Amino acid sequence: MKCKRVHELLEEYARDELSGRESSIVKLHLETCSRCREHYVFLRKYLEEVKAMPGYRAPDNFIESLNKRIHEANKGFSFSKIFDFMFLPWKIKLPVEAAALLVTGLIIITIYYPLTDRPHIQKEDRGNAHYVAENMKAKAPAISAPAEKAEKKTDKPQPVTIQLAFLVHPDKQEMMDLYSSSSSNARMSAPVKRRAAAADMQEESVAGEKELLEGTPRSEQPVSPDNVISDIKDMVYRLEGKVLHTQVNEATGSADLHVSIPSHRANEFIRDLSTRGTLKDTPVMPVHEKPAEIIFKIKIN
Amino acid sequence: MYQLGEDDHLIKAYLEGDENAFSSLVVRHMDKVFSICYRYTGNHDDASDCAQDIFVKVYNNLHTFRFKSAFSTWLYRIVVNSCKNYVSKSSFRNWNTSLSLSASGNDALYYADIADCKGAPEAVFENKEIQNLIMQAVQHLPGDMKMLIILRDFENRSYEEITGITGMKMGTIKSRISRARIRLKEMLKEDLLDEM
Repeated sequence: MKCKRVHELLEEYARDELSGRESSIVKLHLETCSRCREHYVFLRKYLEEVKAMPGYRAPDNFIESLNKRIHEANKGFSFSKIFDFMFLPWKIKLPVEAAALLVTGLIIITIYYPLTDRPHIQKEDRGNAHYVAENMKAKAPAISAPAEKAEKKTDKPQPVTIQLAFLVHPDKQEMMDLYSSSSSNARMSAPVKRRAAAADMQEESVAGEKELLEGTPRSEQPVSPDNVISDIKDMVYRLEGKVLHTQVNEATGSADLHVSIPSHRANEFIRDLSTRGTLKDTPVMPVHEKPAEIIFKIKIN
Repeated sequence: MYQLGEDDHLIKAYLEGDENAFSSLVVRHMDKVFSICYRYTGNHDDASDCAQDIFVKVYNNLHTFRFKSAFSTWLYRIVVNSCKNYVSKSSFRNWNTSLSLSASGNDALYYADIADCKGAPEAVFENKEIQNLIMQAVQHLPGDMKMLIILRDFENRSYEEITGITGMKMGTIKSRISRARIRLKEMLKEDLLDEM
């Protein structure tokens, strides 16, 4: 018989509760195994001492205290009961509650700050020929604080899209005139330019400039979307921006242009753009504390 | 077929509206319950608190007792679970409180026992010292082992009863008790074996 099995039987052997066969096996084992014999000696002494131990008596006021406690327990709720309910046993409840908090936090972050870009709220006023666009930041102040924090953490430029309708219409002819005036200025020969500059210095009036420009034959300055686009592109490169997309529709004479401008130069771009055509309600860019990129979607008609 | 005992009659009387029957039930079992709590917690005040908790639970759940087993088995089941929970809670509340069996409450019991004892005072003191050492060693056992040792060695519950109380298998109980005694021997051999 193994020592482990003998150890399990030793207590019953010490109490004379084993059957004759098991008792003789244990007795035989004890004669040969000194470790088990030592354990048996200890066990007998230990059981003897334990048996001699008195039972403990409950305190004298036990019943009174118990009645009081039963009365209090059934009276109503207390903060200690709520504390016990929420946190005890702490080894189980604290990890579970921590996990629940983490999951809740993740859900809130997922809802208010999704991994994809925020959809832009666009509102188009189809009836009028002016830019219509707002970005979500400008229009929706209810962006959650965690989302704003997360944005502040990233130094990467955040794209903001603005859609502009850059139109020659409704007074296309007037617009063409205005546009041709600026573009023709670029195409003027050097002597003519000098003359124009001189005239500017003398008259210093827009009317005078118009007069001068109107002197140029209209048929010699053809206006096409390509010219407008190339002009806008020049502006974009000057302002350290990028041209993202260009599409010209020859049939309708319209064009779509998507450009990206650093946020700190966006207002400058809008100002320059407004000198080249009609832009009603010039948009005001939201203030960006961190570097951002503004994407303008310009429609040229 | 389980035969109704005195406890069962008291329970029935209580369930029929006799509040005194519950008090009688408590009086019948409070010393045993307190004794287990004291041996498990190692502290007089904690034992009193824990024992009261147990009887509050009994009071609130007595209507669920089905009279299919002995009330003592049902009560011991509550005692075992409550003691474990109580120690878990108190370890949170009294993070740094160490268990001490020579607390004032224990001293009171200790001297009461000496007064009743007929033997020589020196022998009584010596025995008490050994018993205290045994109790302290039991305190150092892991929770499950401690409860099994208390039930088997101190409360003289049979293995069958312990199976019913703890829900463990008989083999598991025997094995754990055996390992617990080996641990106790390691802690106590210098004090117990040197005497022999």
